[in-house]
Amino acid sequence: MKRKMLAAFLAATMVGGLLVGCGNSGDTSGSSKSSSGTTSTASASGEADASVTKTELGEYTEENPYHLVFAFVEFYEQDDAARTAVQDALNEYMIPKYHIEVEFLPLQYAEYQQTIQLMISGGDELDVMPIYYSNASSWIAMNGIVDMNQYMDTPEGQAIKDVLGEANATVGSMNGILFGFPAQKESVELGGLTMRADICDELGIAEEYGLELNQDEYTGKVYDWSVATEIFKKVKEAHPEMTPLYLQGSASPMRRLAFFDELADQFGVLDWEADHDSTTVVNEFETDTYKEAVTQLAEWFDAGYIYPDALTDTQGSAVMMKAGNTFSYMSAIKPGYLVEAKASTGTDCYAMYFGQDVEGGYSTTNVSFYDTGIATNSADPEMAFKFISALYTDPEVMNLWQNGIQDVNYKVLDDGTAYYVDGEDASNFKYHQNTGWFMGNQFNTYVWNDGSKDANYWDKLQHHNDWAQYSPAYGFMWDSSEYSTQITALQNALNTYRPALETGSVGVAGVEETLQKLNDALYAAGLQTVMDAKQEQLDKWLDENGGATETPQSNLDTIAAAKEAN
Amino acid sequence: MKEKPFSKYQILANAVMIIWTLAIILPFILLFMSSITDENTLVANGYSFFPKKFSLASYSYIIKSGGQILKAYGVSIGVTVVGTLLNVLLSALMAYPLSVKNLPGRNVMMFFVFFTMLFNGGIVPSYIMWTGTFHIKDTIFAQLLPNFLLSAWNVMMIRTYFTTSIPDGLYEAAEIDGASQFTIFWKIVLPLGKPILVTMGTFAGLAYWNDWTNGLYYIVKNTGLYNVQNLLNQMVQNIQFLTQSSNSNVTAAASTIPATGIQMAIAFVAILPIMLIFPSFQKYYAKGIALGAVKG
Repeated sequence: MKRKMLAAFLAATMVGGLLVGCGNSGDTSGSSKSSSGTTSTASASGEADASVTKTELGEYTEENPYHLVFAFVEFYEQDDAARTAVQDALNEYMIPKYHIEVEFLPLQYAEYQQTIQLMISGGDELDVMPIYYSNASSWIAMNGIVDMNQYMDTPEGQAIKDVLGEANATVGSMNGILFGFPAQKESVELGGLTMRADICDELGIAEEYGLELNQDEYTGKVYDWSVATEIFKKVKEAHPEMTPLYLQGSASPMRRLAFFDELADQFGVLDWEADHDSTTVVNEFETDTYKEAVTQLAEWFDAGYIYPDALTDTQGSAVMMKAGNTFSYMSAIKPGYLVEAKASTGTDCYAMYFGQDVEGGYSTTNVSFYDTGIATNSADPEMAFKFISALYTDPEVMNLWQNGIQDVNYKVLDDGTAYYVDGEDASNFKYHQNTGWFMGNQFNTYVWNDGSKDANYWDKLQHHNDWAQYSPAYGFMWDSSEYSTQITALQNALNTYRPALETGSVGVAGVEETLQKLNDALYAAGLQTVMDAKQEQLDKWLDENGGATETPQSNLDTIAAAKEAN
Repeated sequence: MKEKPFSKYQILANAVMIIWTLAIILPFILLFMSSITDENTLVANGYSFFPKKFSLASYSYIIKSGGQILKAYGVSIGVTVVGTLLNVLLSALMAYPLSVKNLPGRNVMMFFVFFTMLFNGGIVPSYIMWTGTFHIKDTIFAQLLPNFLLSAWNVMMIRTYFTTSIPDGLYEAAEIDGASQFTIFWKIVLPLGKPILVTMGTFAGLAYWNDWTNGLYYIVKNTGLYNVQNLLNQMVQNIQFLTQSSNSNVTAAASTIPATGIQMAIAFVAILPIMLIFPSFQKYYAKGIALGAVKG
């Protein structure tokens, strides 16, 4: 009898727990739904009085501003007191003009996705947040992101469109939900090798290929990877103690060697190098393009050109270059890149573009890597949207957030660029975010004069985008929320074999066998299901979009002109 | 009777234990040696027990950069001391009544304690409770309260020890002499239960010292409340994420994180107090575990 009662009690407790759990989650989703529902008809029309900002949900004035929590990622350590001072200065500007009081919420890159996810589910105060593109589908599914389409017809929405362009402004859409805007940056991923300048000079490599310091702007000149083989050979002969090429198992070099439109997660891709206009989703790891690339790596590995511990190494290229026994590493290159490279590797470097010009591709993945959106936790998403708009259109806001207070954290030089104030530099600055490529419109901030950049650097960077060939699926965002189990299994399968393949560690003899194993594992994990679903969504999107996205004529002209010149 | 100086069994047993001990100690020595190795030597030649070039640069960096690391150290020590004391006190206060055999409703209470050993709410509900109801986010309580304040397992261990190791006769004698329940608890139960209390205290202390999850979940804005483990975890995670990214902007940021030697130095500094304190509790430790386990 006693035991029975105990069992009944146990069961009751568990059921009770379940009910409480359901009740809670139902409650929160309900309330957030209603809050986004009421704002969907919001319009800012007919409000001429500048001293009051009216939304569907409230009225805000200078005395009663909207309190907005702005989450962002800090890549460099900032001084707490300086950050607070900047926040105050920003509010001094924001409150009279926008009736918004901003609260900074700096997060760490390693944790921000997890932290924000917890904050969304916990209902914490949070308005504007960074969204990593592969989180988008799950955050939308958990009802964590406000659909911004409802605000796109407002003046603020129009302003964002003007800045980003129609295509880029809507690239962060999934199933008709506009979840975020990409940062204004160079999205083309052209790349190649970063090599030590002293060794290149010594071996005549600089002379042979006309390399110069700080020459990193793309001019259409791109070398075949077989040229790299010759360079590695020279280096290996002259300096047998040196590693010609540093790679690392956890960081895939594949984008440098072959370009696919990864369609967000690499499981089902468009094979650009085989057929640039194809809209057929294929398995990346069965393509000849992929096989050629990993075979090339395996040849280098067998010849001793690749760092022997590449498979397991975690130190990163900067550390290895600093240590002095590495000749080169692979990376994306853009104007101004070599100054950054020197800062991180501690040595002068040359850059060479390798691969094919088609690799400079515009895909949804490239452009919308980091987006800025609104959390459903926001008490008034319309105000949050106004703030996002300010990030893209108001230079004052962007400069304050990025560079701090003028003459306290930075000074403007005569040529229109900016630099740290006297007595501060890269090693001891108090406030300098330098993350305009992550959120907002960096083209609205001062160009940071680190030695190589002048005031029209942003033009150069923007011009870098002119080399882009557009993926036919540009603008398509794959919604993987229903396939998260498969994606996890696929990711695990890929992580098992990829590091060995993409560092060449399997050797030429092992490529075929390892590829086979990888593909078997992928299909066992449900690759076909995911690819079919992706193809279906893509076909539907193509129908709605009125066909594949085409590369703008101006870009084609740029590319053709460069081909002729070279 | 004289024993044989070395039986085969003894040699074998000693050999196994020596290897076992080395396997535990050597990584610590390597950690320490790499923390005093010159940074460039470390990267060029890898970790070594006998580095070619020594350097105390990492430790001087920790002392100079002071602020955050020392602060985190303070948080770690404070939280561990306060948390351990609270943990032991609360566990004992919970365990003693449960060890009294004629306590009304004892089984129901036991069930409530036992239930939490098997089931818990999971991360998201816990997060909502701690931040929404108790508002501990970004306060020092975030390091102190969740997960470690009271553990059902500790309570069960202590209760078992009380019931089995303290004879009922002692309670009766005390009651006859006119002692109240609190007097019995302070004067008899706590002194006699010292071995198990110290043991459980060590467990709790270790758990507090090694914890980084509370800081990760509940400390977002006020990073001045990070403990040493949070700092270390953040550094390691950042390095992992930043070096893996193919984005050139991210790679540029990666070069600003502290070098390998400094990570090693912080890791060493982080385990130092535990290594110093642990031996002094050892005698209770062995006794407490054995008693608790065998008779439980």
